[in-house]
Amino acid sequence: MLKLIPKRSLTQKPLLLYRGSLRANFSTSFVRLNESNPITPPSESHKPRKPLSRIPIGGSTTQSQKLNSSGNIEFASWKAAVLMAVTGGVLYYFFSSEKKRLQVQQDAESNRGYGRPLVGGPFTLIDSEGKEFTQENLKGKFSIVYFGFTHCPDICPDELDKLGSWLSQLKKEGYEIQPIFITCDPARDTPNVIKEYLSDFHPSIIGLTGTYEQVKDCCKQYRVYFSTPENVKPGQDYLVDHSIFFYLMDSDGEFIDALGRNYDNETGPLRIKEQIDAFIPKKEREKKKQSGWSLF
Amino acid sequence: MGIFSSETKEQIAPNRSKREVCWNSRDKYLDCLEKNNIDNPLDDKYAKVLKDKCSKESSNFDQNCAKSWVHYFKEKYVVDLKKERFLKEMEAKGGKELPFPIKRG
Repeated sequence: MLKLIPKRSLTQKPLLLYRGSLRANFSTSFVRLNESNPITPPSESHKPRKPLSRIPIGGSTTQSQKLNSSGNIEFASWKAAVLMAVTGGVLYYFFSSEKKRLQVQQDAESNRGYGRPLVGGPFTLIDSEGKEFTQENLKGKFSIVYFGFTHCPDICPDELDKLGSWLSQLKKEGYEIQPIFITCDPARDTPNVIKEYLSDFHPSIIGLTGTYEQVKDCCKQYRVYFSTPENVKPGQDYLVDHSIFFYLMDSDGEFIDALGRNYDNETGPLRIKEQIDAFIPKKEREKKKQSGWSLF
Repeated sequence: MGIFSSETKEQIAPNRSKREVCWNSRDKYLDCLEKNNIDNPLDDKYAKVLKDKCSKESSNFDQNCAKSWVHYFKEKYVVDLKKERFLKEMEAKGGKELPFPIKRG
């Protein structure tokens, strides 16, 4: 590979050395050339010759060298090409996958927010067995939180069916996620009603409810809009308007991403896997920040 | 109702099979609307046609779905129809879809 460097420097060096003397003698030699008499005085002829100054620049010597070196290039090229293709390919793959991973990480980081989390936070509700369920129960595993109500005509059942399919897909690939259904309609959705309702869906879904205040607080934490008609009498038939998102929470119980209805059976699990793979626990993130790696 | 209203009776939501039944009767009802060019079943303008042509479907629909659901599906039909017609109109005028997807809910 070193042979690729041409040996021109050998011929160029003396040329540069003589250039000074060439310039100094230029005026005299110019006069001499114009003289009709080519015979130079004997004292002058004994002066040392300047052989290299006569080598034409780009003349035969350099040309032969060029040919020579071009042969070297051809000889080394197939090895170089293979090496370049292999290292280039490996590097390209590495950097593009790394870039993707970092991008997802940054997305998650910006969604997580600084200081107070934008979405998510402490809440206290009860599950369908009547046991208390708080933000602490989110810790240690990834969770998907969905807000809805059991008397939902078409969207919630569709979304919960979709969630079920995501969960089985993810479980097949070794991703364990805790799915949570939180009702926006605590007046009708008692633990028992939710239990009954969720029995139609994926068995791992945890249904949560609480008092109206508790549910309202929780919805506020998750920035969920919901509206129950005012002055609802017991036994009355009504619908609840609410926002439709799946909230992906990390194992620290913090918000990572919100998945809307546009995520289908393919893109949903893909996005969740991406997020989980790129996830760095809070402790490690803080360690990185302290050691100045956060810029990276 | 006054006597029962103080009761804390739980309202169990329709389960999967009940939803299925409701949705099927809804689809039949909506098909009937489409066939008879009833754009808005909530509008009094169409009350007569509705009674003449789709009374069977209508009563089935009312029977199999909760009242709030019936109202919701009717409203949804109107909105969806408007949306569909608007898109068709735009397309006829030479409108093109955006190069990026906007999934509609």
